[in-house]
Amino acid sequence: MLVQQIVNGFTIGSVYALVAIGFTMVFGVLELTNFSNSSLYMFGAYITFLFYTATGIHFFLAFGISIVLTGLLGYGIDRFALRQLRKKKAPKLSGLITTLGMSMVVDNAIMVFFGTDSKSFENFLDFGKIYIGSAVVTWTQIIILIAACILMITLSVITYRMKIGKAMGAIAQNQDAAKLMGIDTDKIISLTFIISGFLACIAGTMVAMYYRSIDTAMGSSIGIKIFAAAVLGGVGVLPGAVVGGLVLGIVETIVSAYISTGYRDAISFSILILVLLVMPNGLFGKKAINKV
Amino acid sequence: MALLKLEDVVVDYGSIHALKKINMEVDSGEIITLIGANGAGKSTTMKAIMGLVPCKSGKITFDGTDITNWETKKAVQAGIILSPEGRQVFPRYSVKDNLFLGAYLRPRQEIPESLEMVYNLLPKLKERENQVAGSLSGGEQQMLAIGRAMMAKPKMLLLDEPSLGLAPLIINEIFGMIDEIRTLGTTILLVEQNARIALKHSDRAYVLETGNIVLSNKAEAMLQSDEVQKAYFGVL
Ligand SMILES: Nc1ncnc2c1ncn2[C@@H]1O[C@H](COP(=O)(O)OP(=O)(O)OP(=O)(O)O)[C@@H](O)[C@H]1O
Ligand SMILES: [Mg+2]
Repeated sequence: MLVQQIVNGFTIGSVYALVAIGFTMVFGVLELTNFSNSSLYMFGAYITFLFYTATGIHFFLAFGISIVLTGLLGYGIDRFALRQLRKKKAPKLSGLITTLGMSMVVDNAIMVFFGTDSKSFENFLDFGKIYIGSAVVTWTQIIILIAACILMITLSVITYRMKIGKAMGAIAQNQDAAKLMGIDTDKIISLTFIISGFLACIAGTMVAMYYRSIDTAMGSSIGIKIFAAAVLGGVGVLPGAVVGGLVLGIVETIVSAYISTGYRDAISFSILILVLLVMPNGLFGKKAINKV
Repeated sequence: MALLKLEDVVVDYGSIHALKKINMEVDSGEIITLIGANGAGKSTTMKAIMGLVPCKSGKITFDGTDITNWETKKAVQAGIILSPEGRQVFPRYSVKDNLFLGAYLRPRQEIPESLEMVYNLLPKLKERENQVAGSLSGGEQQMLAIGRAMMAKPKMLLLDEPSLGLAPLIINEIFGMIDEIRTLGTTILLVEQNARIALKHSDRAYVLETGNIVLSNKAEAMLQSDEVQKAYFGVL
C-alpha cells in the first residue's frame, strides 16, 4: 500500500518537477516569478487535444505541434511584453504583474474557446501494467518517469555543462556584464522561456493522459504547486526544483491516501513552511544571491 | 586615421544631459586617459561606445565603421571590450569560468592560447583559477576583470577606473600591466580619478566636466598644467 502510494507520488511529483524546472530556470536568469508558467501547462494540454481531435492527425504529431506552439507562446510572452519592460528598466514588480496578466489572458482564452467543462483525453501510453510485490505500476507511470528523467538530465547538461548554460548563469549574476562578454542576453532569455514552454506542454499533456481528462482548472491547481516545489528545493536551482517536485508529489499522495484529500494541500504547505523555517533558502538554495 | 572617433555625441538619461556633444579621438596604439570629477560623464562615454546606453545624436566610428548605437554584442565582435567600473566579475563563477566567458565569442580552438597569454600577464590568476570570483580581494578582482577583457583579444580596451579602491602598490602593478597590454598591440582608453598616475602612463588626455570636454592635450603637458593640478590632483 505504501509502496503503491510512493510510486503514484513519484509519477505526479516528476511532473511537478518538470514544470518547476522551467519556472526555476526563468527565475534563475531574471529573478522573475513567472506566473504564466502554469498557463503554458494548461495551454499545452489543450492544444494537443485540439490538434488531435480536430484534425485527426496522429496523436504524437499533435503532441509535437503543441510542444512547438507552447514554446512559441512562452517566447511571445517574453518577446512582446517582458523584453519591452527590461528595455525601459522597469521595476521587477511590473514584470511580475505582466506575467500574471498574461496568465489570465491565456486561461480565459482557453475557457472561451473550449468551454469550462472537463474533456476526456485519450491515454496513448496505456500499455498495461506490471506488478512489483503488491504494488501495481502502469506503463503510463513508467513512461512518464522515464521521460521526466531524460528531460531532467538533458536540462542539467545544458545548464551545467554547455556554454549556453554558463551564459544563462552569467545573465543571472549580472546582466550588463553578460552583455559586455558579447552574450546576446535577449536571445538567451528567450531560450529559457521557450524551454519552460516545452517542459510545461510535455508535463501538461502527460498529466492529461495520466488522468484521462483535462479541465480549465488544471492551470491554477498546478500553479501554486510549482511555486511550492521550486521554493522547497531552493528557487533558481535546478536540482532543487527536481527534489522539491518529487517531495511535494509524494507527500501529497501519501496524505491523500492515509489522512484525507481535504487536508492534502494544507499539510503539504505546512511542511513547506516548516522546511523554510529551518532552511530559509530551501533544500538546495544558495546562501544569499548576491547581486553585485 | 583615428581608430575610435566620437563626433558631437549626446547622451541623455531622461531629463539629465549626461554628454553634451563631446568629441574625442583615439589613435591606434595610444593610451588615452579621460579624467573628470564624479558625475562628469566618464562612464557614460564608455557605455555609449559599447552600446549600453543609446546616443541621442552624434556619431561614433571604430576603424572607419559607423558603430553608433550598435548592439553591445556587435561592438564586442568588432573588437571593443570594456572592463566596467566596479569590476563586475561574475561572483559565483570561478576565476577560470570568468575568463572563459570573456572569450565567449571567440572560436574554441583559440581559447587556450589566450588563456596562456592572460596567465602570463597575470600569474596570480592562475594560482586562483578554481576560486570563486566573489571571494577574491578587490585587487584580484580587478586583475580578473582586466584578464577577462583580454580573453576577448581586444583591438581596443576600455578600462573604467581600474584603480578604484586599491592600495598604491596594487595600483602601480595595474598600471604596469596596462603598459604591457599596449605592447601587445592593444589601444587603450582609460577612465581615471587617479589623474596623476594615469597621466604618467598615457600619451594624451581629455578632461570631461559635466558632459563637456573642456581640455585635451598631451599627457606630459597636462601633468605640468596648474589648472589640471588644482582641479584633479588634490594638491595646491
Ligand atoms: N542610469 C542612469 N539614470 C539616470 N542618470 C544617470 C544614469 N547613469 C548616470 N546618470 C547621471 O549621468 C551623469 C554622468 O554619470 P557617469 O556615471 O557617466 O559619471 P562618471 O563621470 O562616470 O562619474 P564617477 O566618477 O562617479 O564614476 C551623472 O549626473 C549621473 O547621475
Ligand atoms: Mg564612472
